[in-house]
Amino acid sequence: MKQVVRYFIILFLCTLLVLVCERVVASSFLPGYLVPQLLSMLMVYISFHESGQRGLLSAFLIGLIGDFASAILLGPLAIAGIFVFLIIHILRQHVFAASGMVAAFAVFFSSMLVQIIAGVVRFSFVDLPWLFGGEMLVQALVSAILAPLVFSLFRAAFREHTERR
Amino acid sequence: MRKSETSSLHILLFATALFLLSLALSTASARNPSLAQSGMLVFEELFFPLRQGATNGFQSISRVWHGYIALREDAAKAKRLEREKRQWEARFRDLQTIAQENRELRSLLDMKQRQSLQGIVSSVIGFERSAWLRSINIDKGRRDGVEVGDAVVAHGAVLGQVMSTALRSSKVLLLVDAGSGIAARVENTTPLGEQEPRSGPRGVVAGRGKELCTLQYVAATETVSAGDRVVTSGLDGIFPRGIEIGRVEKAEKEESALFYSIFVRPSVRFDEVTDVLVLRAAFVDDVPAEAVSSPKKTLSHQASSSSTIQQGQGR
Repeated sequence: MKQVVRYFIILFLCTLLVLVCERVVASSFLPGYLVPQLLSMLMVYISFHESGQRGLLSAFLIGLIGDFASAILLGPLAIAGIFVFLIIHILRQHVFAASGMVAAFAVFFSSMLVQIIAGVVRFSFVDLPWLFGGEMLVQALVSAILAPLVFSLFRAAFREHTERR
Repeated sequence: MRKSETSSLHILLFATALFLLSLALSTASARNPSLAQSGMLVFEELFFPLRQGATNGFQSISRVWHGYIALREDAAKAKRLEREKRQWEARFRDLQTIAQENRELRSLLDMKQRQSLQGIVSSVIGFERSAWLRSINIDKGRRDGVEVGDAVVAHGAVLGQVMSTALRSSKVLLLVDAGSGIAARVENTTPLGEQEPRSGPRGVVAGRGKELCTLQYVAATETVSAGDRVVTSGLDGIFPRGIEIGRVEKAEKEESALFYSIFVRPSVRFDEVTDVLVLRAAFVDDVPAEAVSSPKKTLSHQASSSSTIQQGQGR
C-alpha cells in the first residue's frame, strides 16, 4: 500500500514536472508546433510499463492533471489517456517496449490520437475552433523524435515502481 | 472464464467507469467554467516564478544572441567599409596622380604659350639610371615628329635632349648625364632697387652623372654667387633663351684660376617627371645669328646626334 501511494506521488510530481517543461519552459522559447507533447509521452510510457487497473488509472490521472492545467475543460485529456492506455494495452503483448523505434512510433500515433480525441471532446462541449492541421503533425513528429531520450528519463524516475517487460 | 479474460473485462469496466467520470467532469466544467479554471489558477500561481524566470532567461539569451548577430553584422559591415575605404584610397591616389599630371600639362602648355614654342607633349614611359647613362624614355617618336637633338623641358625647366628616336618612342638624355652640355647664362640675384635681374656671364652647363651639374667657362673676373638663377642662353640653337636650368649651388674661384668652379642644382626633379614637352626646331629663328653659325659640339653618347652647344662661348 505504501509503495502504491509512493508510486502515485512520484507519478503526480512527474506529471507536474512534465507540464512545467512542456507548458512553461518549452513554450517560452519555442513556437507551439515545436513544443514536444511530453504529457502524451508520459501516458505512453506508463501504458507500456504499467499493466491493469493501476496503469489505466495512471493514464487517466495524467490526462486529468493536464486538463486542470489547461483551464478549458476537465475531461478531454483524461479520456484521451484512457484510449491511449487501452490501445497500448492491446498492443504491448506484441512489441518490444524498450526499443527506441517502438517508443517513437507509439509516441507519434499517441500524440495524434490524444490531440484528436481531446479536440473532439472539447469541440463537443465548448465552442472552440479546432483544426486538424500540419502543426499537429509537426508536433507529433517532434515528440516522436524526442521520445527515446525522454523515455530514458522516465525510466530513471520510475525505476523502482514500474513493471519490467 | 480465464484469468486474463477476467482481467481484461475488469480493465474494460474500469475504463468505462473512468470514461463516464471524464464525461461527467467535462459536462460539469462546461457548465461551470470556474471548475476548470481553478486548477489552472493553482498551476499558474505555483509556477508563476518559474514561468517568469524562463521567459526572462529566454529573453536574456535572445538578447545575447541578437547582440552576437548584431556584432557579426557590424563586423561584416566594418569589413565592407574597410574594402570601400581601400577602393576610395586607391581612387584618391589615382586622382592625385591625375591632378599632378594636369598641373604638369598646364605648366607645359603655359610655357608653350608664353614662349610661342612649337612642341610635342609626351609622357615618360621609362627611366634609365646606369653609371654611364642618365636618360628617360618618352612615348613619342619619329612618327610624331620627334627628332634627334630636340630639346626637352618639364616643369618649366630644362630636362635634356632627345638622343635617339624610334618610331613611337624616344630616348632623352638628361641634363645631369655626363655627356650633356647646354649653353647657359647666369642671371644675378636682383639687387635692391633694380626691377629686372641683371644678365650675367655665359657658360656651358655640363652634366657629371651626379646630382649637381657644373657651369663651365665662366671667367673668374665675373661675379657669380650661390642662389643665382641659371637659364638657357639660346646660343646652342637647341633651347630657346631664358628657360630655367637651375640655381647656383656653389661658386668658387682660385686665385690663379681663369674660370670659376660653379655647381648648379637642376630645377627639374627628374624622378617626379611624368609629362614633358619636346621642343621642335622651329624656335631656331629666334636664336641670335652668331649662335647659329658658331662651332658645335656633339654629345659624347650620340656621336651623330644634333645636340649642339657652343664650345667656349661662355662669355
